[in-house]
Amino acid sequence: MKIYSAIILASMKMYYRNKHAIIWSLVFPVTIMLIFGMFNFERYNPPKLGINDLSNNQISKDLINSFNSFQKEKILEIDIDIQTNLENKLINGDIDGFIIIPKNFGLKNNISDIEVSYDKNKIEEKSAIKIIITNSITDLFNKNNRIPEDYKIESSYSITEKNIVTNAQGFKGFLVPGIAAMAIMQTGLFSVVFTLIRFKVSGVLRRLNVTPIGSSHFIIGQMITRVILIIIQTYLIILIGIIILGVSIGKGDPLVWIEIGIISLIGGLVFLAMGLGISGWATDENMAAPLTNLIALPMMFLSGVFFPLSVMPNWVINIAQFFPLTFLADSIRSVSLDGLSLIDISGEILGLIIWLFIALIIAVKTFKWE
Amino acid sequence: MKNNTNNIVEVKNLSKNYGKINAVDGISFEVKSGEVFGMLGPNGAGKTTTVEIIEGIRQPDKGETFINGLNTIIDNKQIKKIIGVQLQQNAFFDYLNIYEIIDFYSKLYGNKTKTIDLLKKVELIEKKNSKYKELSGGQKQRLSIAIALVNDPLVLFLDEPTTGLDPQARRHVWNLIKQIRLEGSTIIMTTHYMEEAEELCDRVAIIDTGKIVALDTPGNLIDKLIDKGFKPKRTIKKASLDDVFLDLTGQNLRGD
Repeated sequence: MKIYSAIILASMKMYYRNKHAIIWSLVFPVTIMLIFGMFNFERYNPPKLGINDLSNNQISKDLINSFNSFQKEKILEIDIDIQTNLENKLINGDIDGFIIIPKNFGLKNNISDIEVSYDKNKIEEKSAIKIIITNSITDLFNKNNRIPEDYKIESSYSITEKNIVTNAQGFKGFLVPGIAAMAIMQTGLFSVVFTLIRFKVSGVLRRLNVTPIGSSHFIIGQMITRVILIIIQTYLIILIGIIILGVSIGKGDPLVWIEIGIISLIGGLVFLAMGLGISGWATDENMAAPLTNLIALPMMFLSGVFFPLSVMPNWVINIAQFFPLTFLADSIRSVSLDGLSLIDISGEILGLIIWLFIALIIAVKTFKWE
Repeated sequence: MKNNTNNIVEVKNLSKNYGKINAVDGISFEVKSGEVFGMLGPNGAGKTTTVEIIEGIRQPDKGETFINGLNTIIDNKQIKKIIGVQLQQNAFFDYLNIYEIIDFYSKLYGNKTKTIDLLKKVELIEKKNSKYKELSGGQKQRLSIAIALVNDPLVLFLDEPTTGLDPQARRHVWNLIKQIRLEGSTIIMTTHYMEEAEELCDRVAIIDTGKIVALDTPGNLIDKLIDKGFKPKRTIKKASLDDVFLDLTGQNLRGD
């Protein structure tokens, strides 16, 4: 135990003083996260407006037709449904706002109150929907040819706005857990591969082999250090996401931090074992670098780190859904965004554990000391 | 298992092949407690392979070795606790300083020695905050000797401790080895410098193509040669060019 604490302490010091390692494990993923998060790449999609038409008269149909024409121009997406469904959809982030057209909409001698609810956090969507609604209704009431004279003169309207706090976090909420998962992969693979190969090539491992502990205990100590660092790194990345990008995690349940820690531990072990396999098999950096990139790069782009797996062609989904990074990103996202428990995501966890065994077997089979 | 108290290291009929090459070909010898035992020979003679088998980091094809009565292969872990090793090529951690490196190795053996004392012994106390790569060749060798001493070993193995060093740095390492010897350690060293063996070793084994071709004290080996009627090709002067160099440039180390 004392020996392990000595190895871990020394490894921590070495890691902390290795500026490249810190850049790879923290600065790089955080920078990527902030760049993508700030630009808010979700704006590729038009805002989604839910509609509940209680009046169901010619005037409301004209209003919906006007929304339809916006949909044809891909400025807006509409979803006609009943109010309770729309409320749920808004809370889950499926729509960005909804409008309730009252029973007395456009009726003679009536002032109809139109209720519009928005997602509080989606400022850009909110302003887009607001402009579309105001313009459409103003147009409708000013149009001479379609609105009967009665309505035009004597009917009026008001708009009540509601800002709803939702669970929907949009792209930033999607991005932060994905980046945390990607960083686990990067640290797991790169920090181990290049450090161990350097130790192997320079003869550090050979020197350790003439001590009673041998180099295998030293390598285990290094792995324990990396797992601790990976958990700390995951917490830091998510904290930065919370503070700078304003995402919220686990619906306020503090237990989520323990769950994220456990998932990072398992995911970290998977990629550390892969790194161990690569550094054990390769005799120098030139052999290790291409293989490490060959493993890391496809996963970085195909495992749902930056955009959901569902936007990709089916054949890619069929393969990428089994990538360890897909399991890891999905796991962190499920507990931190959807508030699911570890039992709810047991499928993903099992997937990670299977990968861990595969990687360990390969590592043990391929390891060469010199 | 025979444990002759006088012989701390016993090597019995050791052989090791690499493909068709007999790197070690039936080597046997004993090392007495407290002596400095030298293994001489040209590069590739089998010195390092023999030493590494005794240290327990290489497996012999045939034969066995004992240190303090322990079998190198069977009691490998116990052996490693009682020996100190300086490998021919040394490498230590890049991101730790000299103090931290020695302290790390010391902890692996349960802190038998004080790191500060070791740094003083090898005269690296002023370099304690330096990194390994910032040291000169002689300093690197002294560091690796300090690390070999962290467990206060019964037997110290030094594999070519002065190869590549300048005369001053070499004398410095020699003085260190003499000091360690005075403290009662048994030392097994390899070298291909004859004057080094003559200066330091109580007995030397001359190894060529994996076999011991001679084993005796340096004085006896020279006497035997002269008895055979050997005439030196040039007359031996009372001082060597090495002495001239050291007289002109100073015995003391400079920035080393």
